[in-house]
Amino acid sequence: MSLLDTEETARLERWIRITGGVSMVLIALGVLMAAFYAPLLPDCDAVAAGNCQTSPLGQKIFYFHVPAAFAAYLGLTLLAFASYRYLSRESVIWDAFAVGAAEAGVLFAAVTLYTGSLWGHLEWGADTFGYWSNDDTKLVLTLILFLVYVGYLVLRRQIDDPRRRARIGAVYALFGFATVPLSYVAQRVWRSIHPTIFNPGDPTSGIVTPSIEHTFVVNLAALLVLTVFLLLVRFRLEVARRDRVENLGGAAA
Amino acid sequence: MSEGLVVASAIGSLWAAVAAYLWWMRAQQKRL
Repeated sequence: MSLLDTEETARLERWIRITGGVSMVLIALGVLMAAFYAPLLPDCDAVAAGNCQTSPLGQKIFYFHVPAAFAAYLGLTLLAFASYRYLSRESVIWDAFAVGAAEAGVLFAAVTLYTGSLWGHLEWGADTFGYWSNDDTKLVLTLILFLVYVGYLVLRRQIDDPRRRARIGAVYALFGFATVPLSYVAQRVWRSIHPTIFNPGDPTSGIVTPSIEHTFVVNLAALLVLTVFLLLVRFRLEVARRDRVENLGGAAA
Repeated sequence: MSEGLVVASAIGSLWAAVAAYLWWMRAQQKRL
């Protein structure tokens, strides 16, 4: 007896192949575009005003840092959706889906914090991790978001009863989701050194030329498709693990 | 650390994290 029937398993395998193939092509294209197609912005040492960078090379991190943040937001939004569906239907399928979404979200949130710290080190001249103490709302809220979802994964491991684990996890995830929109809008609402990327008409926003925009869009698409791919692979593993426990005669873990 | 190394470390961390996660899932799948 399996959580998924034969047709659902075949559909899952097909989507894993599709998202895996598409993400690999987009990743390769995105890396090449970031390296060779997107321009190096002017060095602030060389130009007096306008959109210049303290570290023109460091700006290349933009093409991976911002898409990683959006990949984290996607994973955590899917986690909230799966949690809501679990609470309304009590279907273990949605709990297995939630595990994949949470892990993908935490993975990309960690990458966002790490790449952002290194970019900040180059662009703002801060000690690599030093500016957490500067009460910068965007940075601190994103760190809190990461810790909230690490807490979600830790919490799940502490609860043995599968139904209780799924239920408590779903409620926690729905409350934790508040950190996602807060992290996204933080620099628009509160004081922050972090720039606003999508700000039409602002010449200092992140996207200032068509080639930067094209490169950003390809990398964003690559990481969003990659998020779905990782989620589906993890979902397949979770289903297989629960099937095994079920077939061994234990409770559905 | 040079600027190039910092950029390589940042971008490499993304692919290293994804590769490590895929490797872990593959190992878990084999154990089943």
